[in-house]
Amino acid sequence: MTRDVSRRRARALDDALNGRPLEGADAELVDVARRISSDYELDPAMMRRDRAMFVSGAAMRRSRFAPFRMMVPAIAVCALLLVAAIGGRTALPGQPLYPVRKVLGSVGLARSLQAEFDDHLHRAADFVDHAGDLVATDRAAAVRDAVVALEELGIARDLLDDLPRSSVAAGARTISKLEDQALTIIRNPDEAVPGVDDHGGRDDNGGGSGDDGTGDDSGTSSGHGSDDSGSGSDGSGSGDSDSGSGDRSGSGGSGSDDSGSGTSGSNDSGSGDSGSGDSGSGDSGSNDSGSGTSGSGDSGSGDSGTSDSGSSGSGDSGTSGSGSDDSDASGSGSGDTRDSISGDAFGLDGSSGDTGDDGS
Amino acid sequence: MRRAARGDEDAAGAVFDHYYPRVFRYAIGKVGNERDAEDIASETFARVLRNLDRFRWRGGGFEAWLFRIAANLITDHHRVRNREDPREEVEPTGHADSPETAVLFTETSTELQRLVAGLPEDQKEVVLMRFAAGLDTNEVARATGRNANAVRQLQFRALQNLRKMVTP
Repeated sequence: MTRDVSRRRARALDDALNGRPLEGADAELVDVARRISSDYELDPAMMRRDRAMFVSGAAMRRSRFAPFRMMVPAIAVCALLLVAAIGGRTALPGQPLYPVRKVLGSVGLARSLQAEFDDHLHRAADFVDHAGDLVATDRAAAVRDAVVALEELGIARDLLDDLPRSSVAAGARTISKLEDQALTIIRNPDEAVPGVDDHGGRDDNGGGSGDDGTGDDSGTSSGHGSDDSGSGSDGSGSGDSDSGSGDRSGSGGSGSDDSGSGTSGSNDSGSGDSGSGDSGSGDSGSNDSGSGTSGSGDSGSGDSGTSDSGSSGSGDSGTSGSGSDDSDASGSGSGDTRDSISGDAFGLDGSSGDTGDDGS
Repeated sequence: MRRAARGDEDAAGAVFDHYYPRVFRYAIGKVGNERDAEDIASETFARVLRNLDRFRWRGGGFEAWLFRIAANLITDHHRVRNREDPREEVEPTGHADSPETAVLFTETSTELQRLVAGLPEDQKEVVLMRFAAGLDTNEVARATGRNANAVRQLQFRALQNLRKMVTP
């Protein structure tokens, strides 16, 4: 109770001191307060000196801090840009700085996406080749290489969207072929082993049938592995050359192309050769088909040349024999060098070409 | 005040004119002589300049911040003087007519200033901020860390005490 009264009186006094009517406040207390307020004096001279110091100090703040305030954000922005530029130069699709890389690439400050794409594609092809080489001797290593190749292909595929439109279709095809090869090595390594796999088998078949057709040159072809083995022959001279060119073009799809040639070889090696060789190479481009053609053309050596055209396959093969084989070998050889990516992966190129040689 | 913080000389002058007399009066009420009060007021404003960047401009608490700086400097001042001469009681808590308090106040001090200096410390703090420095109740509350009702009570008791001393 006493406390409430005291509090009320204190509030009334405070109101009175703030200029409101007294209303119960003690006027004497208000008077004491006023006397205190007027009792503390200040020497103006003393104040002037301190005032000058304070004002000049405030002015110094402006001149001293303004540049600093400008520099800090500027340095921060520069640092951010630098970090973004350094990090962004090698960013890949899906990474936060990839848009930065696209911008940098557009002004020539980062590698072009096409070059990056080509790099990944070549690396993938190298790994597929290597995996193909290893698959017979070290399957685990081959699978590892194939997996790495798939990773590279994944990156390349991510980059595909940002390539010039003219490059997209060809790039996609190449990626698909390499992926097929890598997956074959991973899932079904036996298919990828030279001398055992289907491709060779099919070639053999082709050769074999070619042999059957011609029978003449059969002894020649034995050379390498299963590819050649079947083809004793030659109609086979030309049949071999087909497989050679097919291999070259091979790269993924080529396997079947090759086998196609084998088959056609059986029909009649001459025609089978040229037809299949060309078609096989068709997968990987015009170069392949060119080589295929030359192979078969060569193989014709007159005879098989005509057989390429397909019309006279068996007849040619019957007559031809070694001459055509030689030329086949050369044909396939050149084809290999051009299209080594895919053909090497399966190890079929050499065999077919060699077969031609053997025939000769 | 914001313009003063950005280096505007006119604004800085206006801030000084408005607050310096208050700080000085508060300081002289606490330390009892002009020389020390001037030192404390000058140092208070020097610290304001140095620490303006750290002050957060929210809720208009500049007065409270300013007087907290001054109060800390006064505390330091008392501590130094106690170290220099332990016999000298520089923070009087008794009445103005005690010998310790009389030492503090020079001949130029008025009778009323002596009486105020003799108030209990919490009452003296409120009276000086309220009537010498001219802060309102809420500003005193913020500067001293009390609530407004407590400030009013202290103010009421202090004035009652002073009235008794002035008119025995």
